[in-house]
Order: sequence, then structure tokens, then C-alpha cells
Amino acid sequence: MGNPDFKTEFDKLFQHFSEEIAEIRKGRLLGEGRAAKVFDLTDSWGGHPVCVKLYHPHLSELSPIEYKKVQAVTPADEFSMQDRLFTEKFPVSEPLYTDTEDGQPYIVMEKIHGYTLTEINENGGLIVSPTWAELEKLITELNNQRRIVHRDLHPGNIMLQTEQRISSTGRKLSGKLYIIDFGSSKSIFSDNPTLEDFSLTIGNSVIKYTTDHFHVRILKPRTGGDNLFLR
Amino acid sequence: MRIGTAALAELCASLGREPAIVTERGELFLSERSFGAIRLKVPTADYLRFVNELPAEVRPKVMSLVLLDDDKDFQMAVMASVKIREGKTFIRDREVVLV
Repeated sequence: MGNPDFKTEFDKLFQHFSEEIAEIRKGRLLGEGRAAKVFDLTDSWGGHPVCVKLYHPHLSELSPIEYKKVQAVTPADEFSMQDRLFTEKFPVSEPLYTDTEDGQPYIVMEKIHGYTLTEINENGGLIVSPTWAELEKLITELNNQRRIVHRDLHPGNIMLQTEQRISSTGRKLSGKLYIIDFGSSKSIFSDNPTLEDFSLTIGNSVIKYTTDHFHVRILKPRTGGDNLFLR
Repeated sequence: MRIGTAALAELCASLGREPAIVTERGELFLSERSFGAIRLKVPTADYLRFVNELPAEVRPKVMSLVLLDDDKDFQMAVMASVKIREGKTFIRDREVVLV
């Protein structure tokens, strides 16, 4: 790789990178967070269900504290964490590859066909399977067996993989739950996460993240049943 | 550049199959999910020069080309769904030249 011919040709090849990124940004947006946008690549990648997480270019201009508020781990560490979980058969999207070119970090991963719980809730959907108890078990497994605290777990970061459409199924859906977006996550070493695991200290500043069950509790039905829904 | 454990294992396994395309530059193997593994017969710089000189219409998307470390049994991965029809290589309906 130290070969000057290689470097010349490699640089020449990647001149096309920024054009391709611009093209991707004009495509179908699947989701957007504080740190990144996720675009569908399925068509241009030959029909294979693939998406790309493009991190916001301005992240590199943030101070370390501001950066950690939106992205607690590097994209490479996020990729590694997701790769480990996928290899251990925990329900996450398969990470295919990651790199940084021209100052633009990205992760290419399998696209999950379905909806976030936020989308399902906003459309008045009801998940009849899996149940609330199964979601709770999944989060506990992530914390206690997989030794990872997600720290940004809310209905927008949980997906139901399903072939059903909200509008065509009487709003009753079933499928498989997936956890997405590990940009704020952290590996832990204790058997159970502590409040310390949900905070991050940088110098004199402490960022307190919410615990993994906090935001998803709103999905538990108020009365009776065990279905996943808000009202 | 890092490639996922499962995808890498699948690409490595594809090397045990017959190559889908063989040229003087190298061999293209297709994995179960039709990702491509390219085993080069020429130096990587020469291969990159070849890709750079391809007309834009048939040049593969740079972002789907993954350059691997020197110690692997293949040098390039194509992380898109590659199809071979009548000796020609396609990514969806677009003809490309990969090797």
C-alpha cells in the first residue's frame, strides 16, 4: 500500500466518492438522527436490501463534549459493537462495511424491512406479536447478557421487521423486533448496568443518558393485555 | 476500511467455488448473496488503473468497492448484488466491468 502508483490510482478512483455521496443524499431518506442520516441503497446496490448511515460532516467541527452528546463512540466502534451483536445473533441490522473517505464516515448495513415503533404508533398501529414482555426481555438481554447499554433507546430506535403494511392489516402487526443506532452505546463490564454506565464524564462535564427502559415504557399498554402500543 | 464478520466469512467461502468471470487481471467469485470477491493476478495499483480508465457508464460505484488488506486470499470485495448474464456483468440493470 506504500507504492506511489497505488496511492495515485487510489486517489484518482476516490475522486468519484464525493459525486456518489451527493447522489446518495438525493435518494430515499430512511431515517435521521442527531449524528447521521440513513439512506436507502437498495436500487443502486443491485436490489440487495442495503442502506448507508452517513454521519453529519459537521460532527468533526464540534467540541469533544458536544460531539459526545450526539455520538458517544466513533463510527468504527459503533460498527464493531453492532458486528459483535450480529455475530452473537442479537437482533440488529447486519453491518457490512465501514470506512471514512474524504472526511465522510459511513456504515453500510442491511436494511430492515418494516417500521420503527414511532412510525407504528403515529399511524395508530398495534403490535400483537411480539409482546411488551418480549421487548422488555430483549432490552434486559442487551444489558445483562450482551453487556451493552444503548443509552438512546426510544421508539424511534426500535424497529419491527414485517412484510405487513400498517394500512392494509387492520393496524395489527406482527414481526420481529430489532434494535438500531448504537451511536450512544457503551460496553459494560458488570453483570447489571449501573447509573454510572448511563453517564459519560469528559473533564468536569457529565452527560447523563436515560436508562434503556426509560423511553420505551410509554409503549406499555395502560390497561390490560400485553400488546405493544401507546394508548 | 472494515468489513463485517459474517459478510467477510461469506466472501472467503465463495473462493471455494468456480469463478464466475476470469480475465487476465483476475477472477471474480460470487457469494451466496451475490457479493463479489476479486482475486487479482496483477498488482493492486494496476487493477485500480484499469478501473480508473473504464468509461463512466460501466465503472462500478466506488463506494461498493472494498479494498482488503494484503494478507487476504482476495484483494477486492464488491458489496452489491452482482449478476452474470451471457458473460456480461450487471449490478441490477446496469452493466459494469469488475475484473
